[in-house]
Amino acid sequence: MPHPYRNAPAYARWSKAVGAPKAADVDPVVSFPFQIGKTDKIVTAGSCFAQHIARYLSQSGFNHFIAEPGHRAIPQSLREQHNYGLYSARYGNVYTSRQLLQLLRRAFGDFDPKEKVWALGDRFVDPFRPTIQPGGFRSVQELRTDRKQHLKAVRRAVTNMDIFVFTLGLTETWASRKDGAVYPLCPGVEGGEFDTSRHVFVNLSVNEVVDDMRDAISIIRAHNPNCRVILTVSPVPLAATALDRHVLVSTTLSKATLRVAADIVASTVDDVAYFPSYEIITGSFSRGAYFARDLRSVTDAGVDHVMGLFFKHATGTTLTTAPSPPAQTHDDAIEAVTEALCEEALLDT
Amino acid sequence: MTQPHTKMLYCVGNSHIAAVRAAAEQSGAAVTFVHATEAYILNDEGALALKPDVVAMLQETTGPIFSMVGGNAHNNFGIIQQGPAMDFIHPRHPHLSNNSTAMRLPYQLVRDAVEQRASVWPAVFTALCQLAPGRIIHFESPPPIANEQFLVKRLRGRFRARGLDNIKINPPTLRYKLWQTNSDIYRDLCARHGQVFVPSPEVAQTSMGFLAYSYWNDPTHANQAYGALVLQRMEEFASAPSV
Repeated sequence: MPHPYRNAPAYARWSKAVGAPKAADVDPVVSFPFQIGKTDKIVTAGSCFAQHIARYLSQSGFNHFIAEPGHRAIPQSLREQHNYGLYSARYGNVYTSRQLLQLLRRAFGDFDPKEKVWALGDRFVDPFRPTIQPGGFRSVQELRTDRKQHLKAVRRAVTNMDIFVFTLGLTETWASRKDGAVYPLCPGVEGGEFDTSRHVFVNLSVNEVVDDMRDAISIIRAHNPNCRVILTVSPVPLAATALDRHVLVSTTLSKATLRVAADIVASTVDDVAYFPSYEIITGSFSRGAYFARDLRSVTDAGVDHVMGLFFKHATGTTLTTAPSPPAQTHDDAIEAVTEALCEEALLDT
Repeated sequence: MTQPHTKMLYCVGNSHIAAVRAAAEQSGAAVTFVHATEAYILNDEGALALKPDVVAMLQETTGPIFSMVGGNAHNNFGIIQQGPAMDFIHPRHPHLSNNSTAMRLPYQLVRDAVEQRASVWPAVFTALCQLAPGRIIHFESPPPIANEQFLVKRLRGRFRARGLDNIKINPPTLRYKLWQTNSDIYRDLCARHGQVFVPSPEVAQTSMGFLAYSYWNDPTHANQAYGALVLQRMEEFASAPSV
């Protein structure tokens, strides 16, 4: 009887699947368990790499479901500056599995963190999305109103989505000692005050990430039983580690933890798939070419490679760019009418 | 009592100067009006500067220079409702936020949108401030007209001609806050450059702060009677010992 490697397919052999092809032709996906249709509502969340997925979906004719788009009277460029449409709701980067679980629990009324507002000079920031409002909110009232509207949008996204794409980014996080609430940024970095009597460092283990993700998917499916989930791991290294060790060591452990957890969840929970964006960017076949000069940011070529394979395997289409949206004729008409009034006011005298 | 002035007054502004110009023509007041669209140039790099002849003219006077620059970006942005109802909390008027069913927007986002609609006018105003430190007196634009029927009646035909039927006017409270937001842009520029910001005259306002009926002109401008109130304030400033 031949040994298992004799008839192994080419994709299972490093020399043929990784060593020989041109970098741009390396395709580690092999197969994908389900397909995304053009009408499927896709919700995105996760660490900063997830922004690329969201952007490509939006530009490629797929239904990147935006439950919190901002108001159409506001120009698109301004909405983007204020973080509308970056993801499906205005939650900003969701770096950890714990943060995702917490967002879902808050949205569906199962958790109300004790620490609700951080001061930033004379402004106020939301501890759970501290950079979402450039410069901060003008008042606590404004922050609370916006947060209530945001969580409603999260509920709308969760209950309506067909596909949820989540990119796991970090294991290191900071939490409240009072109630375990986790923050996307360490208190004091962007508002608030760091206080060791109130805040504690947490480095999530494989089991904790797996449990968080299972609980998060359970909440999603309690409200949307047919939702399918795609997990990815961000290839972006840690900007800094809170542990007293080299950031490269912390990055390796963090990414390994997330990669293992993603594999366990994808292989044990129905309708959850793993997409190997982490491998495509960090694989040695690119010889580091998919990282920019800071060795942290992912280059456009790297993102193109990831998204090209995502579209090929998860949608059966090739990467394309959708046409630009039509001009805002309503805006144009209002501007024309009000300017005409101004000109007439001058002519009348 | 204010002493009657004899000096020439200088006023740079956009369309709201029309009401003051009409008042000045009737009273015989000596005012040189410079339309803001004729006051600036953009160089090859896109940088904005006041025209040399405008600079020379304004440098001739040592007295106050009046500004009515800008003043309609809020109407441009929000007199007509586009899409779903919206609302926001104005920092100086938090009690005026009252539409709980509307999409709520952060003040800063609304302000950025109004400022974008303000086009080059804040930059023109800034150039004026830099030309005449401590001598610019900026008059707030007139408040909005609350009466939606009047606005619809006067605007419907104009929008229909541009292919927009069934226009809906934004609620008065929202338009009031948008007006205040536009004013904030110039109020803050005045504060930054040490200039004077003059609020719209209270006598021309209803108890709720909207433009009183006897000062209406068209949907976005006040009339000559309002201009006379502004002109009176200009003359008071010009007659004062110093700005």
